[in-house]
Amino acid sequence: MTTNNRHISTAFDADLQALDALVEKMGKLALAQFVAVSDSLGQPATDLSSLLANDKTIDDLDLAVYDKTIEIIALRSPQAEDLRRIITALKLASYIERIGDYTCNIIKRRNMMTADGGDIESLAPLTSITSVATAMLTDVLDALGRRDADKAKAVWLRDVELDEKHGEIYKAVYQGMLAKGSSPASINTLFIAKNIERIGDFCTSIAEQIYFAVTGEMLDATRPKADITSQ
Amino acid sequence: MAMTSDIGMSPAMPSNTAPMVAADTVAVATEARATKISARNVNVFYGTMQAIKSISLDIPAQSITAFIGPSGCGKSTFLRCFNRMNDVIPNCRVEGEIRMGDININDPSNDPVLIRARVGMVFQKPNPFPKSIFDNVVYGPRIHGMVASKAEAEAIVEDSLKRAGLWNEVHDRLYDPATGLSGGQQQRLCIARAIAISPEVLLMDEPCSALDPIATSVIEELMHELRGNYTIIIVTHSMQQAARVSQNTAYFHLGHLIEFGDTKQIFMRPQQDQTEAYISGKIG
Repeated sequence: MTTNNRHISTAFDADLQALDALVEKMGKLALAQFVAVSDSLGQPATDLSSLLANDKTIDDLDLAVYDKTIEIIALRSPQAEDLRRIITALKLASYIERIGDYTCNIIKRRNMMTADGGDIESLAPLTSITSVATAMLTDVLDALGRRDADKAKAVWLRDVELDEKHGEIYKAVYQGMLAKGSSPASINTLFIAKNIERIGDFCTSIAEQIYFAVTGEMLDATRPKADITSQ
Repeated sequence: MAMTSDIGMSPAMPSNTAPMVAADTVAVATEARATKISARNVNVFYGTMQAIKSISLDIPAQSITAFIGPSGCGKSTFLRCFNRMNDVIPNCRVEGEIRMGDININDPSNDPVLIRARVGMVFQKPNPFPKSIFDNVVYGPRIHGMVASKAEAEAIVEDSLKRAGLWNEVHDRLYDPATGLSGGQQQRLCIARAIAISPEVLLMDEPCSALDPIATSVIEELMHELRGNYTIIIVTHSMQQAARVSQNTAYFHLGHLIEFGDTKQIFMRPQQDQTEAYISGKIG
């Protein structure tokens, strides 16, 4: 649809903008958290514990999106593209909230490694997967802000690259364990890699919702996948 | 996107000339229904002003079709074509074919009184005759010679009032003046009066716009129940009412039929920008 997005009711426009602002704020916060974690994965000197408190803000914003969505549906009776925009906001908030949770999981597992006196440097190879996940999260949030279905689809297609990177890390760590025996560090590396891979999955879910909100169509469910660890 | 008012549109019957849903979209489940009324190339003029511009449309049988659009778009004018009510408007001229079964409703040789026995109408404001409740309901059957005895009249009145959901409220005061009923009851009485002559089609021109929300809900529930036996066409300014009660929706603008299709499709994923703007309250 290429209709003018301004409503006769300016209060309706204000409600929709307020809803978008909440989701955008959630996205920016989740991205900032993930970037901070990604940048310091292999650096022992960095303490990430303070970031855990930020997750409460993301959770609160998720609830605020929920409240605002119900309010708009109850008071404005949205139709067509407006209705899709509002319903998808609910799902987008849920996905971003889960990204925040996975980011916290990474922080907690990294803290566990630090407490055990573990080999934090063993996380350094994860840079290959965090760089792809960061790019996907950045791009999908940009697509959301611009309501850009094409850019959302590009993110959706990029998940296969993330899966491949995850598969490479899995193989390398697994072979290391076969050769040298398992260690807490290698097990934690696998868990953290999986958390990052899941964040990529949520980026594709966000991309699907953006595409649907803008076009009214669902992306083809047969998205290419290359995650050998889930086969 | 191009206007579609000159294309024969049917929401239920597959047609090469009715691209209601783009081929690459997911088809919305619709019940296949036979066509009750088929309008082809209908034009309506008030003097030199053209109010309806070459509209073709198939109304599915035994379902509710909603006509929506801004004031002056022609939806009520088009509705009145289905029972020749435009005949009573000076300088109004209707062109085209409106086929119902074996007759062309718009053929002047067809008696409009007989057409109106097959196509009943309920108006915006309840308009009971200044007679008793009983006489209002039995008025139509009497003038159409459908009543041979008092017992038959009583049976028609009871059946019609029951179908209109009014019997329990008035059965003990059938000979009271109809004008003593509430607005919602009067409108249900008008529906009872319309269905007393067993029409095939029921036209409703904003039937709830003068009613409170409770009375509106009662009428809407009644329409839902009547749908199994009648073909109903409703003109409404309420988007929510069209979405709630109808199976198919037609959007009109400036005398053109812009879009016609499954109501779910129209309100979730309209194909035309003008429809999207109207149902969303956007500046078009």
